[in-house]
Amino acid sequence: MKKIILERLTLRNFKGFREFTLSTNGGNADAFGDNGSGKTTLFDGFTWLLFGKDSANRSEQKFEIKELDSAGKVLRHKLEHEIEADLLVNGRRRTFRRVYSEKWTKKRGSATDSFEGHVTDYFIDGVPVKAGEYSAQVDSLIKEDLFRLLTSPSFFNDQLKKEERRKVLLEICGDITDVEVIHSNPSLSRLPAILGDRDVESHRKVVAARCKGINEEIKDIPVRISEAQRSQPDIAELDKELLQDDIDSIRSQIKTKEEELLRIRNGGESAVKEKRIREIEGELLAIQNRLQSAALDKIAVKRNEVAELQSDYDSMRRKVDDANYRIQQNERTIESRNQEADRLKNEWNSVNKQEFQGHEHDENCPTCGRMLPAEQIQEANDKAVADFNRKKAMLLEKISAEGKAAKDEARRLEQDNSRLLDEINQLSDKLAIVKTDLTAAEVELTELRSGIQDPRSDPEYQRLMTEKDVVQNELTQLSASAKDEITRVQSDIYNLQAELRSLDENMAKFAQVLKTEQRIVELEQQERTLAAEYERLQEELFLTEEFTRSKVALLDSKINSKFKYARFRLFEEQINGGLKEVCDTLFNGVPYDGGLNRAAQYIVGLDIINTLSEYYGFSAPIFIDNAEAVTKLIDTDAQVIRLVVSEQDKKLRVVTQNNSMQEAM
Amino acid sequence: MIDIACLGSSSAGNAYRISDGHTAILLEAGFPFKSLQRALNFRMSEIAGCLISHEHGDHSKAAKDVMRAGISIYTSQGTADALGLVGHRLKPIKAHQQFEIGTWTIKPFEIEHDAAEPLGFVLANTAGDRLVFLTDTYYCRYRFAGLTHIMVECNYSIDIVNQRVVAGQLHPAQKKRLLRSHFGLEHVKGFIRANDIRAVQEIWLLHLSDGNSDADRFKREIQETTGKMVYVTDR
Repeated sequence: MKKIILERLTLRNFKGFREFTLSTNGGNADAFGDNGSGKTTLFDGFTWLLFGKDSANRSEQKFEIKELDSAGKVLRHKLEHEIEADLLVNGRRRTFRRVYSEKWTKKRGSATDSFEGHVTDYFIDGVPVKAGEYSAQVDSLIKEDLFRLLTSPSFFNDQLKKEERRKVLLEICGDITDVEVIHSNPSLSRLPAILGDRDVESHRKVVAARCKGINEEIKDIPVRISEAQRSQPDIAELDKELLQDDIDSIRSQIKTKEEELLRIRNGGESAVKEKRIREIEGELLAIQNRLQSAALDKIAVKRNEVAELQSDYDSMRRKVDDANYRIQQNERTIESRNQEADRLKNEWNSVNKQEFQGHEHDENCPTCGRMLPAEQIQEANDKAVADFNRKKAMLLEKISAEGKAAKDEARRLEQDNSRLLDEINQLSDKLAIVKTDLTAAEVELTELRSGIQDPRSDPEYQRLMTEKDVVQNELTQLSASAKDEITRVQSDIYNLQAELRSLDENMAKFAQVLKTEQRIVELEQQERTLAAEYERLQEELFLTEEFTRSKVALLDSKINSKFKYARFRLFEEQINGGLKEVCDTLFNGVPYDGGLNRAAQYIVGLDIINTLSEYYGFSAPIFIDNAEAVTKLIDTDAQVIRLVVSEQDKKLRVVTQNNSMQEAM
Repeated sequence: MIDIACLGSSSAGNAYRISDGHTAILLEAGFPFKSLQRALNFRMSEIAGCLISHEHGDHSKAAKDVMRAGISIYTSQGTADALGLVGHRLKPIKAHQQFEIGTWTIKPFEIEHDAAEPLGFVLANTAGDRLVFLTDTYYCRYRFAGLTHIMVECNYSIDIVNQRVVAGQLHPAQKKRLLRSHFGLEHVKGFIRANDIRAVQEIWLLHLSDGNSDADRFKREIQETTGKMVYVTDR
């Protein structure tokens, strides 16, 4: 057990104290004083020394450390505000000192000092130390939160939040493990499996979240079902079986009609009739052939004969024409030849009559112009005569030959003509004969032709022709009436199909209803599944609540066993059956902040301090403010400094255990 | 073999779980849903359907929650209207029109109570069990053949009621209402005598009034009347 005892506490310029020393002689002390005489300041000084905060946990920026005048202004500046204390830590004395002062500096060029803020100086056992070192030393003595718990009986109940109170209590009694809780209540045996790795609280949160989700889904289902129900077609008036019968019957009617249509389209009857027409035409042709073939043969022969005769005749005619043509040609040539011959005869006569006429040429030399000699002129003359004569003879010879040739040709052509005339005469005789033959043959041919029998006169042929007309007529009618028939059948089919559609539509309603019903069944199934899941979660929630309840019961008894007077309520039952974590301190069943008187509050507070001290193995001076409220405090091992209101003590009066008295200086 | 579990049977709330091992049915839902769930060990989802005799709260309180939990409620249209029940989980039923839930065939019949359209039920299952459920009625006009289980209200005894009226503990008007709306010990005896109970295995006395009944005495007297196993629901 670590024990800290406050041996001496000296306050200088602290919250109105100029200088005051509280000496305890190592034991309990009572400080008496009227209201405002500075009792609480003693406690403030002590906590400030150690932690820089007053007893209400405020730092010097928040509480006024300096002495103020009646107007609330700082009385004197540039003071050192300090607390010094001797602490006996397990018998060893340690001196702590904290000094808070204003910092003034004179700036260069300025006549006066200026305020720069505050500084705090720290001393341990007379040696100045840095702030860090100081708090580390204090910390090694006692943790601040623990110190506060152990030095003020009201701190636990008045200043800690319920979570912190719970934490402290659970720490003291040692929290109960989930396994212990589950073991304590057989109905919780399934919980570990449900929780898995999660702890109860987080599982509760998970479950609550899932419950919310499922609940929303469940809420949605009736809406979806009623939607489905609304969308159902009305089939109250319909009978499914009758409907099916109707549908089957109409389907088979449509099938029959379609077959009929097909038959009409393929034209069974027309085909028969068309075939008949072709047969009739064949028969007609046969009759025609039978009746005409012999006559035609004869005609053909005769026609050939006529054609031959005609051809002979034509060829002879052509020969006659040719001959006549040649005769005419020849006569024209003969005439022209004869005229030529006459002309040549006259020419010859004229040439023959020609005489050499002398030479009338130039007798001078053509070169020198000198007159030529006479012999030369005679010679030239002779030569000219000879030349003339020779030429005349040759010309006569030539004209004579030409005349002779012309005469000869004319003669030859006359002979030719007479031969051609003979020939024409002969041909003309023959032509007359052929012409007679031809005329006779043509008459015969005409006779033969007119002798051919017309099949129309044949009774069988006539019958067939009539039949053909009838069948053809029927066929025409048939194809006309088939069109009508097709239209009629198609319209029947169309009507049936329309009817079928309407029936099918009604039939589809049943399918729709069935589908919707299945959908509703599905939704209902889903609803049940969700509800089962929801219920399972509810059960889990219930189990976790049950768990908490069991834990509460265990905790309550365990925690309460640690305290003499104080009792704790850790859980509050909610109206909805759930549990809310609280931490209410009770004394004789009365809640600390619900009507407990001051004395009882102190008793409970001290009880808590005792238990905490024992648990942490540590005791520190306990400051009991307003200690006059309690006539008898419960025992405690720690040093107790009672702060007692006493009207007659206008100045603080300290009485130590051995009754030695001190007065404020 | 029918298993009857009483989840509650008093003017504070009525609910019974009836199971033949195949189909579990909830008779009445007169508790907060959470309590019902707890009483059923969170096995509500195994309930195939819930029958409600009439609209009074001690028989119907959780009806809407039961429907929300995906369980169909079978009750008269009058009761449904009085409770404002609607939706796909509401199955309106009519006296003498029998219906089925799982292995059970159920036939409702009219009873006499100051409610909209109150019903009693005869439940038969495929195993040959036949159970009559009769509560909140001052009279039963029917007889039932081949019963194996009887669940019947036994609210008061007329002599106790009379004594309390004389002692000033019960207002005469309350007595009048009681006699016109609930089944008393004397009626139970009359009802049992009117039926052939040779096949009966269990008789359950339901819905005992807090002030006007005496569980031990009721049990003894019905035992004496019938020679059958008698259970008195104690809550």
